[in-house]
Amino acid sequence: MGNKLALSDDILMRVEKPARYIGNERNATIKDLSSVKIRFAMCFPDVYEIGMSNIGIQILYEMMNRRPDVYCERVYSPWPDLDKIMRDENIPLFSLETQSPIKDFDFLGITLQYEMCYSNILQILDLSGIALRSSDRNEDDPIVMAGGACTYNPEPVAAFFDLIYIGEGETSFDPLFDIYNKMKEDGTYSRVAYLREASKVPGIYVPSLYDVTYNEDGTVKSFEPKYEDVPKTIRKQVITDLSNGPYPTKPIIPYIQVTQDRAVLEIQRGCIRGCRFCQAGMTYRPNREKDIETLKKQAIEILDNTGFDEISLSSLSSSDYEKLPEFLDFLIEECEKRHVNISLPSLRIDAFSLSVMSKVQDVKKSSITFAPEAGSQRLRDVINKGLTVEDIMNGSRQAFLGGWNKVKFYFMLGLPTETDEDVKAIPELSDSVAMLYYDTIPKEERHGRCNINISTSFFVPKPFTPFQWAGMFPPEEYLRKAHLLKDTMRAQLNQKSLSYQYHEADVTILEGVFARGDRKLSDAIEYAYKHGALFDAWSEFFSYERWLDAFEKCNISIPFYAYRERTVEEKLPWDFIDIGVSRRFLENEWKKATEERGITNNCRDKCSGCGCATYGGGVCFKERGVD
Amino acid sequence: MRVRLKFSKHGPIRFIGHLDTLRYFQKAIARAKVPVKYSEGFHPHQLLSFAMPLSVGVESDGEYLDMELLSSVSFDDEKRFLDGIIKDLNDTMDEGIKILSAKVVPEGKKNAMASVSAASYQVWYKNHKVEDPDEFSEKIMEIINSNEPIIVTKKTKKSEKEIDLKPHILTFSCGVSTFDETMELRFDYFMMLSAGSENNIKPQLLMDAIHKRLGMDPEEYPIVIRRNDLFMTDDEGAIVPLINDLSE
Ligand code: SF4
Ligand code: SF4
Repeated sequence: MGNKLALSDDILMRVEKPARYIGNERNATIKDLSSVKIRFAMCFPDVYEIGMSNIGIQILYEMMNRRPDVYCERVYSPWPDLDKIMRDENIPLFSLETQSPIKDFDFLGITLQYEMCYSNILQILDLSGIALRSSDRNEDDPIVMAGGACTYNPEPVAAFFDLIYIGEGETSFDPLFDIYNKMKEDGTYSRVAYLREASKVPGIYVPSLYDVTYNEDGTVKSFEPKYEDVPKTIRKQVITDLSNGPYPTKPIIPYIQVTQDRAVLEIQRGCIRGCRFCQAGMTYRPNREKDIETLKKQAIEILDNTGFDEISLSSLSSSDYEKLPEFLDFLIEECEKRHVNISLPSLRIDAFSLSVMSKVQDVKKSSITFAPEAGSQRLRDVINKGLTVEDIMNGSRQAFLGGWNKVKFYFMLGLPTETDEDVKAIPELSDSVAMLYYDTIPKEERHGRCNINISTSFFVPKPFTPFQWAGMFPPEEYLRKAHLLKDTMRAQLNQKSLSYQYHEADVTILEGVFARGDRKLSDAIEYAYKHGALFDAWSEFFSYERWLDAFEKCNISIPFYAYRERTVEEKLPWDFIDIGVSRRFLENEWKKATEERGITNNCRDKCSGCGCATYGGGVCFKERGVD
Repeated sequence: MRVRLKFSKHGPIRFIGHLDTLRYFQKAIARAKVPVKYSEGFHPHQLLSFAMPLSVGVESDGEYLDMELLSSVSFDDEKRFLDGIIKDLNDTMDEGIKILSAKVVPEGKKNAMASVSAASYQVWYKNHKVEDPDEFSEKIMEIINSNEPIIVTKKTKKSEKEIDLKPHILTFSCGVSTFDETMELRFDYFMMLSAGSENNIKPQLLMDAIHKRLGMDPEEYPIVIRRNDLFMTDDEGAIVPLINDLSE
């Protein structure tokens, strides 16, 4: 590409980090526009440094650009400084690769990874000059689509999208593109006609083709396709053979430091565990591992092609990757030769992981991490977290003996059935770990105090988890729990070795509203955006009051969406999606949890028949030892 | 063994700041598999040092970088060895950055950063507004050649102080060329100014002072700066390019 940038030198010199907008990075795909039929703008609706750290986008970018007739380019949210300049000077939003207006593309695909980016969706559309609502768009506007984790309940943002891709991007883009090409070629293309055809592609949800009605109490009454040929349920898409799927071994190398400033290697998808609060654990089922030889090959290729000085492994629960020891042996040896650091995702703390960690990090500076999520064994059983006090104690003891003296604990507050006793159990458990340190390590061998850091987030019930029916607490109650935790911590014997941080409650409430919202929320999102909401994921821009105002103006009740516990009879806004895990399984898990009937096996020990075996791959078809 | 590289930086990549340029080189050097030396410890890094940071947005034909190579590295033919490094690096460089030359720095010589004593620049007006170049040039040179000091306030992170720019203007001239794209007339300044850790004079500072003297509104005369080269002072006190005569 030439030196033609969409922004003038003057503007680039005026904004913070101009490199966010110049594209041109190494390994970015350059194609001749006249040789392609479909132009796809792939968007992560947050700032460049965050968007560039998303591996999902890089996978799809690689996959789409392998097609000679498709050219996929990238676009991210302009930071507020540039946002203002673009509005003042009427500069349309542009892609990084060809620096050309988004409005000229055939598709605009926006990935939704967290609810707090919803206002940025509207920024992207607005700056592109595309109508915010699907129903207001013209024939020559791009087809605006969404994908990503939040689309497991797409209803709050459904009005803004022409189509929504449910599931993993590796499977259904080819048919979407083929239909598009064909309709363009034989002259049958129109937005309406295309969307109707697209709705028949597996995993594709076209919101405008469904009617929703509501009961008097505000719950969903019916959700029906408008036409007979439009499917009633949308089945989540899954790539069964991950080893042979597209993977970018020549990823784009940003010029500026991004959040994930390292080579990333996905080792598996999905998780064998079924923690009952965890959405990723359900929506990415079934667990699929990448073959170890593929991983070795990809690791070497990525390092050769990028020159990154660090590599990290990406997966939900890395310790569960079966051949992890063998792979890490390989990786440590390879990286030592190259002076490449390995950043390990949090591993389950045991003898193996400690020995690996001591090889790749400075024990004195690093910490070990546990995520028991709940303080008491009772509550850990309720949430199906298979981590026991013995695991924590044994792991900590070995870590202390190995020279560590920092421990990080992650917990959630506000889990279903939680009592004050469960909250108090958090600092008590932490205290007993501190105690263990002083009991284990003789005075003369200690490097000062041990350091136990407790951090809590507030529980948000998510669609397609066994807790999707659970209630949430108002902010005051969350804060009361946090204070209770803090006060109890202060009363502990080793309180000087303990510290505590908790997340904001306000953002959590909003996440709770969006996570289980319905179509009525789109008005409030539009209202908040038009009144200044932008970059809500950034605390410096987030305003709770603005959202409260928007909810009030648009008749959105926080108690109805967030605090209310649902009955299993209720029709949920996302029930039309089939993620493979059956509703019956989720209901059972919910009952089992609240009735405290114990834990459910992980997929590798025993299949619990969640329904995902229908995908025909992964852990469901593993031979299990007979016991 | 230390090797000094000279490189140029043009086009969009000029918007990449100093630290990011360093990170860019670290990756390029790793890709090119240059036998560079790394620091010890858990987070080893390449032993690299740049001569002088280049401001964001500025192009350059003369940037320098020293890299420490593994002590085990040896060669029979220095030129072939260095040409090999240049080629390997240029093969993995992106548009805008190009290695121009390389040289082994003899033992005991100061590193690039400590060596810099002057920098040369070319400066021109973005919106070519100079009507009568000859007359304009005369006025400018009068300021430069007179005995009157050019006092400016120099702001550093810590302090503000008044200095006379005159002793730091090592060479200065004006000329007329044409813009690449439009072939219209362009008024150019060429200057060599003190640079380095002690007295680092940026061309913008001098240009602002000149504009002030002539009553020109700086808003109306935005300038474009290109760094041409960096220099050091040799043992005899002569000003020579950073990659010149390192061997003697
Ligand atoms: S281990 Fe539990 S919390 Fe972690 S990804 Fe798996 S299911 Fe989710
Ligand atoms: S079908 Fe069985 S093995 Fe497969 S994901 Fe569900 S519970 Fe796990």
